[in-house]
Amino acid sequence: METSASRRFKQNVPLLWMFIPGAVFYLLFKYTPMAGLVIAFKDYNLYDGIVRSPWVGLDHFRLIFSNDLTIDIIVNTLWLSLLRLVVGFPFPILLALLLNEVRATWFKRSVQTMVFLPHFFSWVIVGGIVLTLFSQESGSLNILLERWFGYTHSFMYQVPSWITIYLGSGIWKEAGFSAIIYMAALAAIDPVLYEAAAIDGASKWRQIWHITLPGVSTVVVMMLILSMGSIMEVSFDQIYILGNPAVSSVSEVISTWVYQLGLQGGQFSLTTAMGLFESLVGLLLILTANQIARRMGKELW
Amino acid sequence: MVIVYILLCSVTLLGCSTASSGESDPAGKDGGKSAAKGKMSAAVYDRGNVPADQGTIRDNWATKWINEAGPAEVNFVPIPRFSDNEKYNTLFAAGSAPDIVWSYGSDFKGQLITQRQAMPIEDLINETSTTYKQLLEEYPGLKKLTTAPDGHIYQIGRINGLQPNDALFIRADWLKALNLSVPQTTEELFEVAKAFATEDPDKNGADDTYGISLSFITNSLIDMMFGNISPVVENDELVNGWDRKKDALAFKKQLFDAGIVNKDFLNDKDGANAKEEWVTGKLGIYGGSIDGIDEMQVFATLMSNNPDAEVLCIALPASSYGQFSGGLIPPIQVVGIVNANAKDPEAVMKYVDFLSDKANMTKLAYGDEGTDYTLTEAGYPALKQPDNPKFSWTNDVNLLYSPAFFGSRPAYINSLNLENPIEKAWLELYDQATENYLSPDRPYPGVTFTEFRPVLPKELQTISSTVNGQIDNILKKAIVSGESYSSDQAIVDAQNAWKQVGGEKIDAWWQDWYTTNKDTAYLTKDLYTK
Amino acid sequence: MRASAGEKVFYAVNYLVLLIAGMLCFLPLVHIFATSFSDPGMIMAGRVTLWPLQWNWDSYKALFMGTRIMGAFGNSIVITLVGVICSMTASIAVAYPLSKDYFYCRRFFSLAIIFTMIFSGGLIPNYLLVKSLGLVNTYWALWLPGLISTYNMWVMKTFFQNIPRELEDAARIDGCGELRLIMRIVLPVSVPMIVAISLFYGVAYWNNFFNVLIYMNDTSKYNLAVLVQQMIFSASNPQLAIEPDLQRAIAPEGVKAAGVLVMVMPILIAYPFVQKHFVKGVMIGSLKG
Repeated sequence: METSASRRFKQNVPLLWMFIPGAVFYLLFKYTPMAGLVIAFKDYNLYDGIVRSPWVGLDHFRLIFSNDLTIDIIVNTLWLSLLRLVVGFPFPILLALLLNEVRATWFKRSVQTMVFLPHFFSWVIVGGIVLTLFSQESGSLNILLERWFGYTHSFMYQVPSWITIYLGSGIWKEAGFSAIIYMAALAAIDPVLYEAAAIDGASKWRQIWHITLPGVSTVVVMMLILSMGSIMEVSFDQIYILGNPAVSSVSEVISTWVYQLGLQGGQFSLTTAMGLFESLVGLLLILTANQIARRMGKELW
Repeated sequence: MVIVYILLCSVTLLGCSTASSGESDPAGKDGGKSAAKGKMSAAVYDRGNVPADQGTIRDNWATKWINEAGPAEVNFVPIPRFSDNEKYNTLFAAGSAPDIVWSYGSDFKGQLITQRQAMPIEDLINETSTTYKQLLEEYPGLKKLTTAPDGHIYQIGRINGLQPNDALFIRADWLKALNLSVPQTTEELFEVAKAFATEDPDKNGADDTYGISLSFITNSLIDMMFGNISPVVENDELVNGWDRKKDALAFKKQLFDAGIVNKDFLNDKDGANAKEEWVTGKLGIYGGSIDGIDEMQVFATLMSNNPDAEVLCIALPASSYGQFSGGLIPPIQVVGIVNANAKDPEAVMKYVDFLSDKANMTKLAYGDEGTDYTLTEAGYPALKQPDNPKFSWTNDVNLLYSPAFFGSRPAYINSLNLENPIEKAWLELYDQATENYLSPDRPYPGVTFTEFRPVLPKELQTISSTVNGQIDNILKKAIVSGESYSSDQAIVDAQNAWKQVGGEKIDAWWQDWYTTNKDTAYLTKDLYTK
Repeated sequence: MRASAGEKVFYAVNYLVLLIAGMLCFLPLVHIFATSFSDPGMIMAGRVTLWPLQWNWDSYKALFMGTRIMGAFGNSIVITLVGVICSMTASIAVAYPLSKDYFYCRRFFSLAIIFTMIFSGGLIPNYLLVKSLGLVNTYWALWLPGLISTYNMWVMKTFFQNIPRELEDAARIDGCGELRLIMRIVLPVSVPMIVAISLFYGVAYWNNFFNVLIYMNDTSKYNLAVLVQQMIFSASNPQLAIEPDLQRAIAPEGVKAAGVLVMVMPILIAYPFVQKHFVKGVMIGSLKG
């Protein structure tokens, strides 16, 4: 007679076989390099290598937090990421919902292909487009403004408008691509549910509220939590291309700083320390988000 | 399930075994010759510009010839030109950096020296070198520059001969049309630029011209006019130069506020917009570099768009600080180091000698006499076909190519075809630049050429790189902010930022260095000797 | 069913909004297309907007002759195809067990994996690892370290979890083993998600730039992304290896536009085929069948 424990074991055997290669991958390619994080606590130099470089404890962290400039950079990074999350998160979902309601397949497919395109342009190209639109002298928008209202606005050099452009271009570039996940989720909702609701006399709005939204809610929550983990990663390319000295008080972020000092300046220990700090913040956020999700029964783990 | 598993494992093993053969060393295949030649590896800059039919940057006629005719078996390691520090850093960290590391960046080389990744080679030179040793003796400046404060020679270099690099161009036809003369001072420069921007010099009835640009090279030339370079010598002391910063800033702000420049210069990261305005005839004064054939093509485009244009190259107008010249190619350039972990340093030294030999330089840059090049009247090789695809990239293979042996001019200048009116006009501009910028009467404003400055100690370096960016941002913001942010205020803010991070320590360090080393270090005055 | 007035308005607004969104995204591509096929003089004068002016193949000529774009293209295809196959197989192999609540130590593994998303050793330790495995200068340096993207894998797992239990129970009653269950039921039902994730991996491998640059020593192994980036990086003048007449005739912007187009084209062509899986009602077949 099978006990439930032995039955569980039998069920797990094939799962374990499947899981082992992946586990090896994670151990080897993710955890082993993590050992290199120790250089955040050492004074790494090429001559001594990772193992023999001298320990300096929390010195790098002290340097980071005592310097006004680095603190500003950290604050900028947090702000920009948070804004991006709050403002940008709903758009892909909205887009997927709207597309889902389109009945003419050719229209749906064409729009889908089009909105999905900007993801493939590198920021060098998108930056060029943004500048063409918003430049003070020759930007298309300013040319129109000049003609209609007789004045121009320096969009790129004032903080509020720059932030808007930064967020807007980010959304424009990624919304279509991120919408794919939601579209896949929407495609998996059983149409029988919609038919049944329509028969029961539910209007379009009620159908969306009671069927569509709950159907994707798991995916939405998952995406939200996962993006918490990468909240500190403000794309280097985007800032590098769109940023300029006039808005440097908000556009200098961790990734640009790390790039200049670390990869180009060879100060690996300092930049690893900063990276470690970034990760810790990410960890904190993702744990918090998961706890909140747990209250709603939609925790990730 | 198990079968699937076994299949996957075998595929992985297969993958791993082919992977390990992928890293084999091509230079390792040899016949019986290898006993005579040493083995080494050398970096080679990769700009992605080697034509497909020539091979790759690592395997082409030049690398083959070097391996046949040269003293060592060389394995070439391509380094992407625009991400070189990243690639080098990873290679060094992994212990697989090449034996010769080429780099123009003095900070980067300085880092390698501090981290003991550079080999001291003075003994190697004294004992085994021939050609390079001679070069050091003939050009004491080279020895001075490649010797570190601790007395060891860590770097290798080449002799350029002082050459102009950045030049200031002006539309002479516009000057004539508006009855103006070439500006001699910064005040005159302002007036001329203003006239260019407001008085419709191209007479097309439209208000579409700019006087001058604040992008890229033009911007740095304006700084040069004010001697705005830091640190700078005043009264035999090395100081930061805040008042120069202020005056340069005020000047630029004036230009901006009067509508003389394109207000979007902040986003013109490498001067591409300024260049476009210049070639479409919308810009009156423009700074470009003349050491490469590219700028000549820019000139050609300008002339084809505006056949009536006349261009002059002018000396930098004088400011209250004096008259200077900017953006030069130093007579000596330090271009590389030898890896401290090189296994066969003698082979490396022989290779350095090989590359420093005039005949070999000629072969790599110009090919064979008769087939690829002819001699000019002055006796210098000139390529028969200026853009010959065999040679357009070989300077990245041999960074020790010394232009001084070829008339101290870029190779393309020697190869110009004087029958072509554009090339003839360009040569005139080049000669004007030589006359304007290479005279000690209009010297380089810094204490020494930027590349030759000593490397700051590590703590000061971190401070310096972050705060310099910050100050640059403050000053640029002041330029575009009109009345809301005066240049005086900006300077005060910049000074505060400098103080806040301990910039005064940097000032003190420079002063100290100058007092101790001013008689032995390579300073600006040495640029004009050997 | 006739749509009510409110619904009609909704549909109209919907179409309009989507049209605008689509146009916003599409027009820049049109501009790039136009630039790549325009006469260089027109490009330099800044007059090209949405239609090629004086149709001209020079930019493409320069691109194909002056760079090793065909080789890079082939490399990109290899990297992407093999990469997607490897990554999808591995991701499914990890996502599926994690989606089963009776899997041993499920929570522990989940946490351990999410942890790797947040903490990373950085460039140097990764390079050292790849080097010690002898993978430098081979494409395995791209396929192995990037084998599983935790983000993608997690999405897979969530989708697997959302598959109705009835399907699985029905199959088990019929005596299905785990592997058959996966092949016959789970995967077919998850097609939209599989297509989506394959697309994500595919795009990532196609656009992979930095890793190729750092790990490949042979320039013949470079992929399209690196090539196009090098062109864009060489300031305003891509340094091409072509005859001087052609060099003088082309506009750098035109050549860059041609490069961008070549990079984006394959994806544009492949995408419509992939799209049909994002249609409502894919589930019908499985329930009724």
